[in-house]
Amino acid sequence: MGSGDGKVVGAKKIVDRGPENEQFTIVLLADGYTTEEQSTFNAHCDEFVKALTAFAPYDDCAGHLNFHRINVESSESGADDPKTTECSDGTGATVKTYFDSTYCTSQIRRLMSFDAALATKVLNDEVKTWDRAMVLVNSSAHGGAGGGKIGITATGPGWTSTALHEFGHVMGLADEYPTWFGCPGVKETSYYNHSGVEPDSPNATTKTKRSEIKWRQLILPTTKVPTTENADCTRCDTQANPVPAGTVGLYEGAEYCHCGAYRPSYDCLMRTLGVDHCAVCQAWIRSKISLGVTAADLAITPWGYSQVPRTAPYWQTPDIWGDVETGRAHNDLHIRIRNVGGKASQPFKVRVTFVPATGVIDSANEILVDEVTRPALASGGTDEFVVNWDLTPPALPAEYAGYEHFCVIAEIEADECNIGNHRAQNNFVLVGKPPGGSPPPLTLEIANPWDIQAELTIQLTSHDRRLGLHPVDFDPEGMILQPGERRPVNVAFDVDESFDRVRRAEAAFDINHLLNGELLGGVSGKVRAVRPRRGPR
Amino acid sequence: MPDSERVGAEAWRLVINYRAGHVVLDDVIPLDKLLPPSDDLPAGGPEGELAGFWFELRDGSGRTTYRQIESNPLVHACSDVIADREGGGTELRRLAAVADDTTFTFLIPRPRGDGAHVVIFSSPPDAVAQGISVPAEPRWRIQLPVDQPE
Repeated sequence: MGSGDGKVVGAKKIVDRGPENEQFTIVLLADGYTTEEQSTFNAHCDEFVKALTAFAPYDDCAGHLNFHRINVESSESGADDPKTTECSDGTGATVKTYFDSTYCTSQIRRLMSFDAALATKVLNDEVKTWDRAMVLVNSSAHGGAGGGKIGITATGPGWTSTALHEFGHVMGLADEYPTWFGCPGVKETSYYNHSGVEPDSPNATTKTKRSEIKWRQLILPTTKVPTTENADCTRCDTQANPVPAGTVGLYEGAEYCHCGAYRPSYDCLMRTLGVDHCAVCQAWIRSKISLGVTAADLAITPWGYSQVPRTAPYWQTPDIWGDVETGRAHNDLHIRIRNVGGKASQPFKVRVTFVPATGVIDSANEILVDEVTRPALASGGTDEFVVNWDLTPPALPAEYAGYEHFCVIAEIEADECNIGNHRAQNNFVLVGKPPGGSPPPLTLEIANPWDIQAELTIQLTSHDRRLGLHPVDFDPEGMILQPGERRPVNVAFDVDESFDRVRRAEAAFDINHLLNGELLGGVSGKVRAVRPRRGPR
Repeated sequence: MPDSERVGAEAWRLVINYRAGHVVLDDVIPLDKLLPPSDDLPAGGPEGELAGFWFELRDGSGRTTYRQIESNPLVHACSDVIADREGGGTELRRLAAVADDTTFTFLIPRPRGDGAHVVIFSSPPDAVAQGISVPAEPRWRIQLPVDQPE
């Protein structure tokens, strides 16, 4: 068995989306296909490509992917399938194949292995720029393996479903199983509780504090953390998903253990065949595939709460700005989009919404400002445009008429692989100080979006020695909010008399709020000296 | 992904043989190829302990210039179907074993200057094969050639 049992016919690029040195290149190698069976291998390759590129996020990222197949003729068909005490359902077959694929690796029937040194040599000789590879084995018994950059899979009925899971490992993702031997898991005492050592994999964690979770930027403030907890660590947690499917949170049961390790979504292909990759797994795959040069990459800074690591609060971006005033029908809201990719984009849409400050941002609360279509943007280009933000009724719902604090969100809508830079948010609050008078108090409404009681803390920070902030009607520390409770709080401003001596003086401040010690929101605003209005606007 | 994080096109593929617990650099293949950005390590435990498998390209002064977190090539593992789940999907479990010998590759930016080396961090393969999370240690160091290979 081995290189004497066949020959390499050669490589063929079967999907060409760009220059090899700029693409993510996936190669499929044949093992156990004879000369007469090469057309079967070719069909299996097409099947794999079709399955993978129909599957998120590879569908969005298809423009970054090149696929090759390497036809290899083996002397005989199939794979070695030892029959032993442990591999009792093996057929006993010993087959002359080029890469010497076999079942029953280390006496585990389903576990397949192959000559990795030879496969690596063939890959390096035939497709020098390969990134990942799969050995397709001409055998119908279920089996495969994923580890390192080369996976292996048999090609029996339904094989692509398992192959997609194994390819996830080849891309660097961990399993998200809450068990080692299978649920209910009562006998697997070693897997009741995780060791507590944090895994390096992007889709598993032992951390339970929101600010330490490696996928925290994808967890909405409205999602409770942990999202699910296992009440009985002697068995798998079988509770139903308490939140909408696909919600990113912290779900107990991962890294093969019942308790002490968490996965990002209730379900994912890395846990269950036949379901999609969760958003966290998708983000990891996108980061590996989207080398960016050969495609457009529209971006808004700092990419909202998708940026990792975040260098600024997620409610700040330099790409959304404007001079806004509640009660004014015309406010110019400026948006800036850049194309940081290597090619011109197609025309694209930008959806601009706002949320009155409630401490809660979710799509259900967002009120449309405008949705605009922008022209194609050249590589390296910048597009700045203005939308009108009407802050009078009915554009501003009547219940928010007294608000001065709004969160503006701009989201790019474009089919791209790298979507981590498509959304950004900026909070607007401008408090006017009349000459000789005091600024009015700022009213904020803080919400507890969770289904548990939460301790609310509000941090008041002035960035100007002429400005002081103090609470009017609340204790900044130790307030308790019941589940779902919304509480208005008023912050008053003390301004030094020297403020009036400077024309259009401004003083900056921050107000942040924490629930159970976790920073969930805030506003960065300014007190500005204004002239009193004379008559209607 | 900001422009500053993209890694330039001059790359090396390191071909590494693993035999009985030892690694040997078998080949260095120069390539013209864009690479994904370097990975940051997630926050570990109180003393920084982290489980898994990754490599770091370091310069002569020991500074890490590139890192990739990868699937552990020292463990053969596959998924076994347990049962169809009510409501859709198929439940799986993991079957794994330590590889006695294997070959794997790393893609790195072409190193500059003297003293460049790669450090491979790995949790103990036997623990990985049992699904037990044990801290990774710097297990192997591979010195890289100074001159670009032919």
